Amino acid sequence: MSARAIATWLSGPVLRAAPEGAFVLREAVLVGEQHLLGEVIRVARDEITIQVYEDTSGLRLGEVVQGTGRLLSVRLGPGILGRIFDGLLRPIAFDPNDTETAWVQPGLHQRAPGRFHFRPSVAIGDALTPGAVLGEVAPEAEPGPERDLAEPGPAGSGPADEAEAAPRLRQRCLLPPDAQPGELIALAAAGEILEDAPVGRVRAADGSEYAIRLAHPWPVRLPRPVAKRLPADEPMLTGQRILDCLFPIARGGTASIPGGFGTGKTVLLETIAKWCDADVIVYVGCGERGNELAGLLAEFLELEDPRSGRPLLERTVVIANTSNMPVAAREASIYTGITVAEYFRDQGLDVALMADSTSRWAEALREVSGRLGELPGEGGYPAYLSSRLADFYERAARVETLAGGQGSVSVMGAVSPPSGDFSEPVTNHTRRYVGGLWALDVRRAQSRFYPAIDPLSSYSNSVQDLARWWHREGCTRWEALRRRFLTLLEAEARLERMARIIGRDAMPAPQRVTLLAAQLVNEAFLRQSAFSAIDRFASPQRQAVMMRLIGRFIEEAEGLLERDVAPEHLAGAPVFRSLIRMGEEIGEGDWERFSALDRELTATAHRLVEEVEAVQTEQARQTEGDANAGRGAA
Amino acid sequence: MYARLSGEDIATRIDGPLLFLQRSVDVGLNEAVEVEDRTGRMRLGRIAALDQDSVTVEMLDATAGLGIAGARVRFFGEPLRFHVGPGLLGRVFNGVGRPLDGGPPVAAQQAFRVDGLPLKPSARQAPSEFLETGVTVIDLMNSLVRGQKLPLFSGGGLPHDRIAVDIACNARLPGAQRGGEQRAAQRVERGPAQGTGHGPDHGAERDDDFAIVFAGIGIPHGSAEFFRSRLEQSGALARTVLFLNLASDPSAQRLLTPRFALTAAEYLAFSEGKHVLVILTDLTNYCEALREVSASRGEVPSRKGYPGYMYSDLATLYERAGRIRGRPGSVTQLPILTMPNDDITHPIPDLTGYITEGQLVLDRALHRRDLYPPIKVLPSLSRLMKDGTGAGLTDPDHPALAAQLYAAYAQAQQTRMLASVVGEDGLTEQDRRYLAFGERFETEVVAQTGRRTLAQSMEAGWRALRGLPQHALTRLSNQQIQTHLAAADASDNADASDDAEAAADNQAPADGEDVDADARMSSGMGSGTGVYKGADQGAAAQSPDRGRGHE
Repeated sequence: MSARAIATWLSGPVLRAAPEGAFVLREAVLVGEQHLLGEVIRVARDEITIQVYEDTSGLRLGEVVQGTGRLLSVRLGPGILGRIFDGLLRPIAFDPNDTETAWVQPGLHQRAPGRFHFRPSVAIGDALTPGAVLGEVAPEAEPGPERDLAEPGPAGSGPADEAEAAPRLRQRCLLPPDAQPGELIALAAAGEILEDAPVGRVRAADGSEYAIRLAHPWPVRLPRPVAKRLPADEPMLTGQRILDCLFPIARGGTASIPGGFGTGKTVLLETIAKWCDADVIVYVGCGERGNELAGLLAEFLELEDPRSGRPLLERTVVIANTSNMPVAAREASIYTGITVAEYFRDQGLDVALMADSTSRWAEALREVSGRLGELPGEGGYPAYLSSRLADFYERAARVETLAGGQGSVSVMGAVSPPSGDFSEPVTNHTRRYVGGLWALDVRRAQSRFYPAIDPLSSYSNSVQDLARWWHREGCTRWEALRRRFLTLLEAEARLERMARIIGRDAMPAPQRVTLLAAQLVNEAFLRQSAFSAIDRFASPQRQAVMMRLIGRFIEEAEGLLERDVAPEHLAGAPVFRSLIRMGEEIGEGDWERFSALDRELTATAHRLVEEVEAVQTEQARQTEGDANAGRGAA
Repeated sequence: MYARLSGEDIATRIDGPLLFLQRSVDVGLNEAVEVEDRTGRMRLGRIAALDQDSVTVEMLDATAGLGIAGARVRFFGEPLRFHVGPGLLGRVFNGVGRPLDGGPPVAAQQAFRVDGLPLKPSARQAPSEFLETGVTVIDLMNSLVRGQKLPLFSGGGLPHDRIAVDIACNARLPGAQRGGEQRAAQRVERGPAQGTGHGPDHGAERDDDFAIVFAGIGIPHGSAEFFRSRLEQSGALARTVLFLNLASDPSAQRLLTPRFALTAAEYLAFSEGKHVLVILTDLTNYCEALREVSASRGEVPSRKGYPGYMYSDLATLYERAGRIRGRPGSVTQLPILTMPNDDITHPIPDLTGYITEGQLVLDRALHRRDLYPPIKVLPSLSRLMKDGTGAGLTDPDHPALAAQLYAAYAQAQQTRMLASVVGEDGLTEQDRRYLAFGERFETEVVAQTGRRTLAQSMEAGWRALRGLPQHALTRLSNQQIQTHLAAADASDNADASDDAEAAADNQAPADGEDVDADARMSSGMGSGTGVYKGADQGAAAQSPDRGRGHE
């Protein structure tokens, strides 16, 4: 450990130093008196090159670079849940009593260890393998000193008071995956323990002993090992109809959200973070707006997790590296995020990771690469952009953990293509590695149609696998209806163009039916307000019911067409408006109102047929001899 | 750190904006230097790189005329700082913080790094308080919220200078606000601000809680004079700090101008507790300077020759807008940029749009029709509007009215397209009503001749909606239609509504300040929209209290 080097060359965030002792590539180092965090990115016999993750202003030649003997790592422990960190998992919480802490100051700050309640599930003498579970960890009732994401002052103790009321997420203490297997020779009793205090000792096969703590370090660029990968055949439900029903993502799957500015990438990611059925959310704000993250923090503190009734923030880890924070740390933040996600996955939890935005990460890669004088590739990005993207997305998986449980990491990454042009390198390379694409459409966004996902250019590769799940859950027609919706939308796009020229009213009735049905699919099903208290979340049951009802409407409309009822009659009926507004009006579990809507639809269809028939008979009687006259009037 | 080291005859090479020195003293990265040439002229610089033998200095002034022999270099021993103090308001500075108005230097109380430090996201207060600019399209349709950054995308020849000055003259905090007690409590804790001449605080927000920081970046001499004289005439200069970097000043200084301006804004906001509106014009000049300096450093260029780090660099400016939890004061930004060739996908507006919270877009067609301000409503967006408007914030009906106007105008635009294909005769009665609405909206809501309070803007909005069939107003509740539209719609007569306004005028005392402002503005502005002037003045005479019904 503790090799030293002396700085000999400085330029921006890159420095070179003359080493005294051995450094390894990607080793974390501390630079200067302020202990700025850096990483070794090149090693030569008499010179090492270091990328510093913080503002280097004031750094001088001759400053000491201290090696840590470890690859750039983050400290993973139960205390990271519910907190906010920078791109290197250092706390950036704000102490409201000291507003001078409002700015990010350079220099190393470690997370203060939290206190937790530990309950062992193993016994002394047990043989442990890496990744084995030692026991359960529950947060202590008392808020730690850093519980300051909560509102300032006495209000901060609010969430803690309710701690007994609802169960909080149980975490597990693991033997680190890189530890040696061995025999447990000491174990703490059940009770409170600090994160960095030993909970047990293990004697390895070679006789060496080491202590186990609740928290352990892990190198961010190294995927954590698993027993095996499992097929992704279970959906990660987002509560968003257009995603769950048209372009679903599986647990352990990946999806990319490309969209120009103002198309709602961030709102969509935040909405998924709020309502998806993962156990833990890792939200990486990578080079985006500070005010948005402030809003997210405030909102997550207020909103309740629909499953546990606890504040959403308690199941969330926020990794914030806003656009004005040091660029090099932005490059690391993506890896930090996925490492944190893997840590929770290894405890047998389902984790969803949101990265907003991977384009900013790629730009950080480009910037650092430029400073190193590397040969630029497409769009100025380094040639290894594609393989780095692959590295990142490949870490998403549903797995059997080393301890034998099941866990998953699902990854959703926003992409911000310059000028909304999807042919640029980051969008293009991302497309090759993700299982789903949720393409955001400027036109939909500008007409305030949210989520502005374009159904014609989006896709999901896991539809076949997930159709079985929907079938098992009782929605047997999921796949058929999904296909029906998509073909309708495709037909609509074609007909819309014609309608714009000749006007809707001049089109033949079958095409008007198509347009009407597509309108219903769009307005009633795909549009879903993230800010509506009723409609912001839709359970699979509610989605299935709505899907079936719209399917029924399509059938009725087509049936009426054969009976010579013009689609405008149906569109004018009150039931059509009720159908369009059903997402807004009918909440979860209100199945009776959905059934009533179904009955009203049938009744309306009957009534319309009767009306038309009445008119026809009337006309047939009046103009004997010309049987076809009535048809035109309908 | 104030011990200033200096060295003579240590310069070895000058290469464009870069000056190379022998490494004779121990200096740190990013620290400021001052170089004095033989004639005694001073130039500012910044240490960009260090190695064993040499120091690379990036000069922030033109290097023409600088020689190796006789150059005297003074090292500041710290990064560039701006010395700020209570006397900042009413002053005019150049792009690097030196007084331009002949006055003495500011009595420095604090010295802040011009680069600033990033604000922790957890320390930010989510913006939620409305800031009134006096421009209807902004206040009513794309509300600016304190702590927001909302850029104005303009183009060559469009009147962004005039809009900038109008907003600087007219913007204000919309009357007494909520949370008075909380503010008063915070004030007591805030030591330094006690000496800034605030009178007793009654919890209400006052006009002197508001300040403008106006930075002209690389602007022509004529524009600079225009800004200065207009601010002086209107009296707004007293609450303004003006930074002027002229087009003829060295381009490297343009990189510093917004940083000095934002440092001043942060001091006013977070040390003096004011709500500060920062107007930066023109960011395109800033980006051009960035490209120029980057090219001279020999960096690998990205899109259109701009450096790959332009996004991060712009973010270090824009992200300095915001509020801090537990502190009074806010920094709101209104950066103005001219889109090269009116291309919104050009890297400058594109990267800006990815950082800022919305955008306002100017429209050449509206400008050609002499409608002022020519803000194109449909592509304009304020992302934070939903957080800063509505019941308890502005007016309960504000968001619904904005949404309805937006929807109706979008419909009107579609109808215009249809009408250009099939002709106006082929339109239905409803379509023709939408056409008329579109016209009315542009001439009576978008276009304005003087400052409008939010209440006046809303009244203009309601007035424009009359004449549309009520059943088509789907974004409004029946209650809202009943309250604001029903009576007028029955008569559907402009005279009637004017009478109603005259009556309101008699009941409520006219806001003298508003009328003054209106008169001032009218004299300073073209009278191209004279036909509609009457309507505006009618609205201006109304009591401004209507928009503040939330108290």
